[in-house]
Amino acid sequence: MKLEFEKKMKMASDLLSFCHLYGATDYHLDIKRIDSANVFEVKASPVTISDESLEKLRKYLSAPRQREMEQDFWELMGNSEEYSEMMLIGMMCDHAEAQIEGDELTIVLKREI
Amino acid sequence: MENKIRLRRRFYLPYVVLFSINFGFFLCAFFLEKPSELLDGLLKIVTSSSILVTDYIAVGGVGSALLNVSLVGFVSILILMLSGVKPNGATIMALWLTAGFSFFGKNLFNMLPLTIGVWLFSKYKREPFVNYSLAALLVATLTPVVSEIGFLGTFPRIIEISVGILFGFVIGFIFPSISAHTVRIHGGYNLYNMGFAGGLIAVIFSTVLRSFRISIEPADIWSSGNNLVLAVILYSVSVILVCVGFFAGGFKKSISGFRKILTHSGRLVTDYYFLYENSVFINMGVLCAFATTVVLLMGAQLNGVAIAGIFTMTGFACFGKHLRNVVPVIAGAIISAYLNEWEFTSPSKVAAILFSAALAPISGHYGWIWGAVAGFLHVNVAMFVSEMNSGLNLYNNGFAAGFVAMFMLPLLSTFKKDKDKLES
Repeated sequence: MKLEFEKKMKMASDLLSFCHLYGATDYHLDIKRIDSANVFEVKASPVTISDESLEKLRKYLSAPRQREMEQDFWELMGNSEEYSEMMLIGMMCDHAEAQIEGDELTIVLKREI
Repeated sequence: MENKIRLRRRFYLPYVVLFSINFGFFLCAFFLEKPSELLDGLLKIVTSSSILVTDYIAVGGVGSALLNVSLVGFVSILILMLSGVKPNGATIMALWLTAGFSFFGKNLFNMLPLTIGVWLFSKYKREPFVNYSLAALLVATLTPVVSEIGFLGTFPRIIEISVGILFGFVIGFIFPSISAHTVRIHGGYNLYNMGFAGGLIAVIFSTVLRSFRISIEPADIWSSGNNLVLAVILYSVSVILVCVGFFAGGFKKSISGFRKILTHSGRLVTDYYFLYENSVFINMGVLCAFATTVVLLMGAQLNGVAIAGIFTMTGFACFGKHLRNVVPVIAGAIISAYLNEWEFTSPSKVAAILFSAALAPISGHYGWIWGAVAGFLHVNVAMFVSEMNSGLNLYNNGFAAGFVAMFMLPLLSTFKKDKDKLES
């Protein structure tokens, strides 16, 4: 799919940016192609995030896949130093998980191409 | 690719609400005027140049304008339903914006060629039309191009209409690529991104025409004297929306959702419908009433352009706007309109004030003072940019707001600290 690589890079950038905003200094990012999907796994620490903010993150990432939004707004991602686009990332993914263990935040996203 | 996109042709509540309101407009039209007068008025509307500013209420009368709004509304809802688009904040916004601009500038003749152009682009890209459904509705920002060429009055009518439709196809074909890129120029702080994209295309188109000595004269057709009937219609719409919010969402849940909406900056992409479901109807009703009241308190006229601004405010209540981020921008715009040299209640001023709310995310994110500054600047910029595109871009204020955002954001991001991490 055309521009898929660019979209992946912007999503990765915003995921890392989000972790940075919550205090992370160590990051680990995997992007793998599994069958017809790109799967993102981000692990970041140390992250300080309240239960409320974690729930909001899950809510934003759970936005249903909306290809019309992706078409019009994907370029918004990845170019902001002070903001993250979690809802837009949610709209560009088919499945999302976010959890924290200790001070390590793990986000897993699956995006069908 | 299409396995995730299920073509569920269902009547979702937002579609039912807008369909019902459009049906109300349809009935109102027949209540206000005789069928023969309606058809005559509709013909005048369809054959007008539709260039900025052509108020369809002045062209064809209140009844014919309402008939035009309802017809465009029915077709727009049908397009989304047949495409299998589930309602979200953006699609609800697009439908309301389309309804508003059907009071000045949009009709089925000049809108459909552009939509078909977007459809052709989706075929060229071998992607489902649903991916481009938003662009397919909002490309109508350039409807004046189709009408202006279609009814130029220089060549045989059939040739002019054919060329106008052909231009519609071409513009619709190129529009999605441009609108997808313009969003990064203003970083999502101009809610009317499609207006900005349309403005760029219109400027290019206009300058090419001027270079070949084809001049386009902006229109200046406004209606007045309909404040009572239009205020009754607009406040009725507000009440209906608030009632729908309470009945569909439950009183407590709706109020709670409405309060939470007020905590967002509103920057693109913030989908209130996804986050708070039917509470958005409360927000829509409140903003519709607020915008109507602003126009009336200014002592200005409710006409096609004002209603477009009011309905745009209503639609964006699902997708970025709420009282808290809109009021400072509107206040700044009103102060600017009061101080500068043009008549305070002139229709173009009223439009600039109402549409300044495109910059509501600046207020929501950087604070009310900067929101007011954005509104102040917007009115001045908006009064001049329509000359750049010869009035060919209906969402001219989106074009103006893009410039204001481009000017302010680098400064704000340099000198202001970010307020929060994950908002709301």
